[in-house]
Amino acid sequence: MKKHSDFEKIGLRLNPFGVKPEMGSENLTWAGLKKVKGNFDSLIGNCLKAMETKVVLHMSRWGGGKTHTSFYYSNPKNLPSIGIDYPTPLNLFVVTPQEGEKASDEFYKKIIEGIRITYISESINTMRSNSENDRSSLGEIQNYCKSEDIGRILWLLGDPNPEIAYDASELIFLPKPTASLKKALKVRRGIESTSDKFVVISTLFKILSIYDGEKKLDTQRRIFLWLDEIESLIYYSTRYYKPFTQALRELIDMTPNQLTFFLNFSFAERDTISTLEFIIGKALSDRINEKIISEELDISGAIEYVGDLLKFFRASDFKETNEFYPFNKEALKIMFDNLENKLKEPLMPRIINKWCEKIITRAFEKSYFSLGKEIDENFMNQVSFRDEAMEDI
Amino acid sequence: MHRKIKAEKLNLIIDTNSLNHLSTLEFNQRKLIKLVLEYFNVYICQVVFKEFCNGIGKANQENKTTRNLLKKNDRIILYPTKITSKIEETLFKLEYYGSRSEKDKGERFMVSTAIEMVYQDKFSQSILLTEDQSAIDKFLKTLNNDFHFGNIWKTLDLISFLYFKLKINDDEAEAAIRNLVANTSTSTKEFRNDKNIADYEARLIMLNKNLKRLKNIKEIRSVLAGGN
Repeated sequence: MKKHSDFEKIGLRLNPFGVKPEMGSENLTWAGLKKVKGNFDSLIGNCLKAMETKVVLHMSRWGGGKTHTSFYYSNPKNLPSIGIDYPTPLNLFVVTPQEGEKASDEFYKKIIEGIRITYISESINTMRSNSENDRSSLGEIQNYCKSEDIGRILWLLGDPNPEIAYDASELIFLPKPTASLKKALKVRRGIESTSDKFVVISTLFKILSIYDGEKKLDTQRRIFLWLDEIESLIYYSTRYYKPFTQALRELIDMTPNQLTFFLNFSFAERDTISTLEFIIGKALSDRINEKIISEELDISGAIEYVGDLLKFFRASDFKETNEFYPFNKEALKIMFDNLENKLKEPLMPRIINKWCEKIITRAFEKSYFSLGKEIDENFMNQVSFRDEAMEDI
Repeated sequence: MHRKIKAEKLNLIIDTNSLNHLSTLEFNQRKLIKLVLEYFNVYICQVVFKEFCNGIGKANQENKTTRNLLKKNDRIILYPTKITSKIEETLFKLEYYGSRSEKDKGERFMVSTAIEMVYQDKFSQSILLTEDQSAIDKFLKTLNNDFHFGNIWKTLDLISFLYFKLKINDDEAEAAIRNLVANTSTSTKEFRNDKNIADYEARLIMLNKNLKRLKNIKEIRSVLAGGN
């Protein structure tokens, strides 16, 4: 990869083709793929207006921009305008645990850590202070989770006494708390089973859709839960995939409102989509309400994608009139034609990024830009499109 | 209806990795190895058996059970005869395998045994059960084309055969396929088609092909169940 200063030399603020998306980055933009964006804008817009929980399956080939989409819509600035004010959704991004054996535990831990215990404590404290009296909030939480002990542990997390709140937070991760801790908090048990853990998550979703760390929200907020790489379930044996997918289904069923649960799935060949239900199991696939497929791009779609990226990363003092600089449009056509027809690579954002970056790097090495040239048909025709080798350029 | 024809039991020569799979997979809450021992004439080359026993860790109760099960029946373990060793050596001289690496030793003795047994009319045909795709590509396929000793199967093939023949129910067969695909020791080489694809992508293709195969077998099974 070239240094930032190199990209500045070709009129770019940064490398537009940095392959890995970053959560919360200001340099995360949407490029091309207009249909997918339209689908997401409309779906998210509808979710923000509605109450009901939705489960959305987002599918594409590897490198199709699913993780990028999750990060893009996790930024409140990128949410569609729906004509009314709404509270900023709570975004949680979890990668499917790689090991089936501890999948539920790991998922639970990632959710709690994603929300942050401190924020949970503050929000439950807000709930307690907004209740008619402190005991009524206890009853409310116990009613949400249908468990006296789990409800009390969560309620104590919001205790005004920080030591009590801290002790309660220990119980969140301790399946077998000591007798003295149980006695001190007046609970009979900890968060023991997988089912307990998912009851905790669902109850927290309910509380956090109404309260934040400072106040009771004017209208309920949406929880966006993004589960990335669910294709990893292919590495789960029967023994482990059933309990995990059934627990996810229970979570959906226990959270009838305010949750949008996005499942990101990478398929291999097009017809492997049919195995999806088998991989994620009927329990979970039965709950899917919406499917969005990010198709591979055609050549004009790929050119539009690169153009949008270059535009976003363009330096303000850039004077060049060619919108595709450092490429010219014909050169891009040649590159995409080769990727599609010679390398048999599907035109997905990750592949396009990889090759654009490779070719710019090689042009720098040949001091091509210092000669005042752009990457044109002549340059591109010298590229030997082989998977890794570019030594012939 | 072909009234007078009755099938013989098939001869199955099993490799180490496949033996590991058969020890852990279950059908009807019975270990697959038990079903296979009932349904096939099972043979294990001594080299393979030794390798299997050496690989048993302290905690691996399932493989210990298989070892004890196999030891009970001394007909199962095939000790190499002078001829077997001579065949193995000659195949090397004939350049079927480029080298005689320790890694391929099991497969080399399995194939030599199969050739010997078929020649001596002890087996009409034999099935080599192995998961080792590189041995299959390197020499097993070529040797079968030249000597026609029978067939080369992987455990996934065995599952589809059992599904076809023993009318194992869909859930059990699918669970076995899921477990084999999920097992990282199951080679994905066959499904990569020389493409630089990720491991999970190859497993998705593997899963897809095997589920399709079950679907097709199911169709034929229903024709057979209803037809005369």
